[in-house]
Amino acid sequence: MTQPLVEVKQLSKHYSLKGKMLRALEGISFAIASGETLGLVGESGCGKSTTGRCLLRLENPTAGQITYQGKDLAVMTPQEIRAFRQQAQMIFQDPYASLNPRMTAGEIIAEPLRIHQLVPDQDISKEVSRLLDLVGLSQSSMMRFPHEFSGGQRQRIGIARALAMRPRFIVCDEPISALDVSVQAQIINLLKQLQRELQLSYLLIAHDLAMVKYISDRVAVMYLGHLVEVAPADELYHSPLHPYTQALLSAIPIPDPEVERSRHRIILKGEIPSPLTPLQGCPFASRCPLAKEQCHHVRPLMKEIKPGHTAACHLL
Amino acid sequence: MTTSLLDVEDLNVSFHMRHRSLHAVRGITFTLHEGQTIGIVGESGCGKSAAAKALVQLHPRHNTTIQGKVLYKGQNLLELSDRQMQRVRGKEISMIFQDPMSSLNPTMKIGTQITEGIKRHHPELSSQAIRQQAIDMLSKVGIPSPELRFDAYPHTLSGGMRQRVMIALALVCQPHLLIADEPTTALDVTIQAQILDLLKKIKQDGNMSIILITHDLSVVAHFCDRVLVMYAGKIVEDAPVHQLFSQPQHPYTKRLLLAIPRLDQAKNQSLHPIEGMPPNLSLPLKGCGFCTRCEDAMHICAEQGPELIHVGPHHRAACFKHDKRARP
Repeated sequence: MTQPLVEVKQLSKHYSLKGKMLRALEGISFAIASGETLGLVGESGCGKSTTGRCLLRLENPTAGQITYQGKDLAVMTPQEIRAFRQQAQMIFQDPYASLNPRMTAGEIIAEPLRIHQLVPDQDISKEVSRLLDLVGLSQSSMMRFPHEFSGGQRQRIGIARALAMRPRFIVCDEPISALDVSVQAQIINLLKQLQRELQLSYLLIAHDLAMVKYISDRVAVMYLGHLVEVAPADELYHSPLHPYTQALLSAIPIPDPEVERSRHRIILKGEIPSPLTPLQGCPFASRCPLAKEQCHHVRPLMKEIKPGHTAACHLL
Repeated sequence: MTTSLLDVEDLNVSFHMRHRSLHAVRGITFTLHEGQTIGIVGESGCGKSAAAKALVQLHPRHNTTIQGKVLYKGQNLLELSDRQMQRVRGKEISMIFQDPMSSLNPTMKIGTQITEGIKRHHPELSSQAIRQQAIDMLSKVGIPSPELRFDAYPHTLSGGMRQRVMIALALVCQPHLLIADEPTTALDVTIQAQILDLLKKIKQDGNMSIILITHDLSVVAHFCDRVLVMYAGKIVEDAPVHQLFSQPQHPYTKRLLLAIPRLDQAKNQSLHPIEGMPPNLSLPLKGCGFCTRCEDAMHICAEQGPELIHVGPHHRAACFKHDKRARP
């Protein structure tokens, strides 16, 4: 097998909070191949954004190893970090908050080009107009300010800014959840098209599972800082193995009353436990309809159930 | 034939700002029958929340104009005085909002917030009885150990629990109509399923009608009997839920259904976004609001606004394609 572009091994991130330990991530491992999209799904507070931030070294992990093209991020020299920051970019959730309201769209996109001196100064405006073209914005956008754009257009500016660095790897943190449904599809199609043209790899963080399915090659499901299941996208949706994945999928309504009527819905009892309380067994045990005695005491490990399909559950 | 509980006739809502006015709701007419659940769907800025708030007059008076009729049990709510309206809110019509954090008072205990409504509408009850009623309601909406939670502050609860408190607060005086404005949008999917399940159960127990406002068509498919689709301040389609999804008649509804991904569809099917943007509602609208984004637009669409006409026994759509005069 070829070397993955990004590889995460036993990544943990703990924050200390008023003398308590908040375990945001607890020993997660996965890999992203070149040109692949890995979808990372889970409910709020499960640690998906923290994973994305650790991957770009915006947070320093407490334990574990992240390698990019075989190099460990933790021991990179400043020069290597600079090169890595150019190749790995991020697209943020809120297109309203992540663009400087005092800069024009042209300045926003040109800023990373200047800092990293990717193109000579006289060619910057030519490069900006190429990028605007690439994300489907008109040339007149260059002189306009963020507030003059709609949410979808703003997200396109954010994408153009990320693409300015000619990245190979982009972490997309909820790129569409702030947008209207008719616009979400525009952005998803754009991300797909850019991936084909520029051979990008994505880590797509989202809570909308239907959207994740459309764009991801593989999907990883997180719960309370743990990875509970990883599988190829279609397989995960057809035959989810972990009880949490099953409940999560059944909770999502389908826009068709005929289908809805015949669906069996697993309604989970209770809520996600606080990540401040130390866990002994399986993180899902407190809500799992199938939990046994063992689940409350022994943490299940990820194991390969079918080729390419791993899950962490004692019942499998 | 069921009797109608709410008749909305030609409702218009305008907001006045310093330099411009925004005509957010542009003449909507619909009827809600007793025991029925209708969904109002549309994208942000289409006027769905503005219309819902106008029904119970929650807009500030100094900069809002509301025109038309809101007939609740035959009485026009828009003609009532503030004092009369207070007797309607909470007791007859209740509302729950999207964000349970900002709609609960952070400085008041949960119990105090719930009993406030009972005290107002039932001053004859003893404080012991009021407390008991509030605790019963908290346990009915699935809050564990309600006696303890009665004295808790909102910040000590999770998002899902807070939304349950909101529901308890809205339902404690047994209203006949519940207006739920995006009640599950701020929640996670597994919690959303719990809350929708709870609302369904409560609806079956009592004789309550619900207006559910949402941007999420899948929630509507799961929850509603009838759906109103709004676009640019107008109702563009009104249909029983099964017909809306199996035979959508308005181009906007058709396109919207194609734009959303479905969990039960194959991965490699491509999505069809709606290009363009909705019109600016601070400007007058000459033709159909959707005509600039519509693939089937005709000359007349840019000239004249289409009326909401019957295209089936219980199915209305506002599109010139369904006008008898339109050539096939």
